[in-house]
Amino acid sequence: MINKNQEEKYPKSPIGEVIETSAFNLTIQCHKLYESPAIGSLIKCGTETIVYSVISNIKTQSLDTTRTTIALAQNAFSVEDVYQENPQLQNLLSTSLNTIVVGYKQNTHINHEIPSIPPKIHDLTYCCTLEETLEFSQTFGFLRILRSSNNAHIDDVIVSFLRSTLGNSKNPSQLLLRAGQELARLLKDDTQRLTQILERVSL
Amino acid sequence: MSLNLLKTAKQIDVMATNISGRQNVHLEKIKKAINAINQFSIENFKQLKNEKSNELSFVVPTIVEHPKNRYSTTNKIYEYCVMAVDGSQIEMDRHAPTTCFLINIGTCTLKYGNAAKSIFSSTPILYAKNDELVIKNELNYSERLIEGDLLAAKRSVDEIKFLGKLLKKSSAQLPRICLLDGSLQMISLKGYYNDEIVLHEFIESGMVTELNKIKSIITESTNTVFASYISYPNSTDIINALKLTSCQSESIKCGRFGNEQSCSECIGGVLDRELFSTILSPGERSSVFYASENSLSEYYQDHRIMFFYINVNNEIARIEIPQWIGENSKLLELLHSLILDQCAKGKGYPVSLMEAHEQAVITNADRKTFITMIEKTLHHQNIPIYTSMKNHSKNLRWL
Repeated sequence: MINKNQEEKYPKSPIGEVIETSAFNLTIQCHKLYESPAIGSLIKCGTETIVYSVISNIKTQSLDTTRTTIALAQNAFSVEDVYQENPQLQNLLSTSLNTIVVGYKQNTHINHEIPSIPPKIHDLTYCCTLEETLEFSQTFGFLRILRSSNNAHIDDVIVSFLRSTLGNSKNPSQLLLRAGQELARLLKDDTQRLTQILERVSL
Repeated sequence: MSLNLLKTAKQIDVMATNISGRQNVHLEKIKKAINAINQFSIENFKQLKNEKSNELSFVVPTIVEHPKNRYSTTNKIYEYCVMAVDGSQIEMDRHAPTTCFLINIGTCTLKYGNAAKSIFSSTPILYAKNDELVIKNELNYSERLIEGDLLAAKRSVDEIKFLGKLLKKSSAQLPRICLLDGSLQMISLKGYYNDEIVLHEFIESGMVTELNKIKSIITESTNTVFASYISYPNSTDIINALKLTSCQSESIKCGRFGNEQSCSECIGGVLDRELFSTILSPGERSSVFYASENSLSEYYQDHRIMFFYINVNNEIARIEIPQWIGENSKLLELLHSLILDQCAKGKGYPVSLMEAHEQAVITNADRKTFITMIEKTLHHQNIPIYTSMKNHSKNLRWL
């Protein structure tokens, strides 16, 4: 049950809940099949301490690992037909997100650090609004955490995060400048990688 | 030492050789069964049934339509709701720390068409109170533990109860089909034909009460059907009828596994599904027959069981229905169409029953966890736990 405190912090409905938790990574199971924010989106969970994480992967698979999915669209005209003809799929498949923890908020102060206590299993998870994402991105210290994660596709995650944040911001060039400065510090020994990221963000 | 697979493999080889040797004889018998159904006359059958009913070692159905009739449907329904229920159980174990049994009921509701949706549920029911574990005979104070065949009957009653509840909650706006897995006839109770208390408890108070509720809902709507589905049936009702009309021997005593008194036209050992696989084309159903009268039939009151066979493309399935469905041609047509659609969606088996089964199934790991949970709970409440030394030795497996 959502308490009043949670309602004030989270006016929107949750996208899912935490099903695997650690200090560095979370797995979120979405409440609705395929209804997940995009890769690179900032999401939040927790009650006393709000933990922020960035979506690094989205998976949809069979809830029961012993049951394999098989082709069902041989006689269908579209994927929508398949889901309409097989409504059980809504209950048998599940969309989940892998996220990288990038910071937390305690007493209105945002820290770009790993929280000392990870979120709980079943903590409700919400997609951050643009305002929240911009508030979190006032500085780009969290890029250090993203960069140091052992995700093989982390550059794509960073590019996705920056593209969507810059794209919706009123002052994108200012944000890009600050993000670029932080990335330059982090990737000073790998200018090729830095250039690739910045070029892709600027596209 | 576990199962000696080397020794088992040799015996399997011998079995396979025997099967191969019997195959030609069996195919000949199927041909004779086809011949017998081609020459079948309802009048002749009725006469022989009247004459020989007391001599027969098997039961025969009531046939009002020629068994070779076949029906197809062009009625394709895109918007409908299917409700299916299946169950599984954990039997009483006298070696377990306490006496109890558990029935797990899985349900699946699928709505097709606009706003397609699915609802699954899995409901475990633990029976542990003294009066839940036995059927009492108040007259002679005897008790029968609910285990084995009686637990199978108890599970059937729980399944149909859940189906009735699903049906009651559903909307009658769309065509509806309610499905159970297995036979509507409580064949597990055949061995209790002289135990009125048991038959009253499970058939009259259980099955028939629920059938009455389902019937009252179905008769109020014109587009709801109810049936039980038997995949790969082993029944021989129609073959029995053909034996009666075609057997050349004076006393018909050819069975499935023994044919000492077989005649030249012997079809003993052939199954109904083998016969109907030669008659029904994909999508077609057979005539509807009244199930053979047996010692349990009278308890079913006005829910006499009828059945038909249907070719669902991949196999011949047997559908059992109460007579208030079987005698209504519109409902039969609806049932025929919806069964075919469910089987098409489920790749040969109704998808709703498959999902209800998935909700009901109790794995070996679940069974072990169930016992551990009982032991832990009793331990936490300071209740002494006793188990048999046999169970103890199985768990310890010492050297």
